[in-house]
Amino acid sequence: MSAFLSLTKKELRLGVPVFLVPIIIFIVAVGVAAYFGGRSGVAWEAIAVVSVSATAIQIFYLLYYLSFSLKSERKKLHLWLHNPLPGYSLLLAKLCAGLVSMLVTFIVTGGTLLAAVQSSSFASQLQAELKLANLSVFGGAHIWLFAIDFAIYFMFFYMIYLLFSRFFGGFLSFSFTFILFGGLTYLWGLFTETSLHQTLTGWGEIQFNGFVFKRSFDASGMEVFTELDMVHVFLGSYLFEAVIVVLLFIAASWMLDRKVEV
Amino acid sequence: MINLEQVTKRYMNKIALQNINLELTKGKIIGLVGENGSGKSTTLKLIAGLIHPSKGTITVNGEAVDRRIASQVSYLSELDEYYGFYNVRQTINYFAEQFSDFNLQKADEIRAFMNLDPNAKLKQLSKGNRGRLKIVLTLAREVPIILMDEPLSGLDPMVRDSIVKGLISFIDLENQVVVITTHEIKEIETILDEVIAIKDGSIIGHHHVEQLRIEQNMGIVEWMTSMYENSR
Repeated sequence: MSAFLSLTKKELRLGVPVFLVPIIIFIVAVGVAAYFGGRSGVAWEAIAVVSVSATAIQIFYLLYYLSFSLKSERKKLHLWLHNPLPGYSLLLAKLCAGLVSMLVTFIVTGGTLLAAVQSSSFASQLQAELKLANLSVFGGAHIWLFAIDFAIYFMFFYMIYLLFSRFFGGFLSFSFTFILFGGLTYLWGLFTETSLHQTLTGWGEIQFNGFVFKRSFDASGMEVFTELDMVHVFLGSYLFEAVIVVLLFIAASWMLDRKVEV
Repeated sequence: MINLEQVTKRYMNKIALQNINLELTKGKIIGLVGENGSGKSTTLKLIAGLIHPSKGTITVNGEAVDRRIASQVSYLSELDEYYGFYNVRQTINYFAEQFSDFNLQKADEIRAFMNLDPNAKLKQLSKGNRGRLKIVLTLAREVPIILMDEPLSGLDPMVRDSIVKGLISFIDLENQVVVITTHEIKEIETILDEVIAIKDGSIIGHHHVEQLRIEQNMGIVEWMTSMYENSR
């Protein structure tokens, strides 16, 4: 087995507790929803609500997974870092293990959601109005994109935290990292309002149609309007974000190789 | 082989090592001795590329040291940290997969010598047995440099002697240099070729152990004590 695969396998073992906890919580939540929903005759609808929430919240899954994984490595940095593999391999192995865990969790929650939608009467009414397949693909893809995005931002700031830890205690290092994060987020916010940002991201417009069959529908006598029938995205914004996360990942790997200390 | 030139390591206001110059060549077992906080572990971590010098340069076989020098350096940490979900065999296999120079057959020989059950879970092992496993993992690598930070710590005093004698048979003295830090100087004295005394981050003495015995009729502890007294 190659060194990278073996490392990824180790990361998966390290992440077993963090993988099991959300699955167990989800199973319990589905059970509770089915019980209380069933008493009102809307068991599947209740399960669908729990499943939608559990699936959507997975934009934070990798953030949660990596925070646990990197934190457990904190006390044994000498074990993790005393390795001839480059820093990007060490970080990529953690990311891959997180993606595998997320995939399984996503299948569990997404599968439950699909089953609930297929079985609930309200959802079958929704199916008549919405193109659920299109929505699922679009929403699902963005959950994964956001999850990877957040994970790499987290890795970058965690490396900054480890750099601060060379000089300060844990609390001070966390505080300085948090202040830096806040400051950079503020500056980034200012940058997004500039015409340069608009030029870099506002090109390659793509329109997605076919999320909704009708612009409105009745549910329990109430008219609901939706704007979801057409979604505009810009290829430029995806490419720009991809470049940013690649640069942050390279910077995190460089810090791990050259600056982080045990 | 290992070269430290004017190396200083500073943590905020605290100086851990100051202007260290050191050249270590292969074919020797070198003891790094000194009181607690003198800079022994810092020196090993610097050579292993796990920390970085504030000033000066460190090279191993002419190559500037960073974390990836792990391909040429086998490092045993003083810390009792491990991946608790593995057993002894899985830990050895994991190391074998991470390091291309890891000799599985040699690891098995050392493990048997250390009397370690391959199926024992790491979290169920005693501290002493985890210490033995660290020795297995470090010595089973066929690398030019072996760094051992307090390898005897936690080992039963009754078996230390036999383990130290066994160590020598698992080291390839023609191709390797071994640097050991220890407080158990008496136990390890018989296998050392050279000894380096460190005090307050500075090297205060570097001597051949055999010469000490023959020329000055001194053991390492007496020599170290005299070095410490002279440096006051």
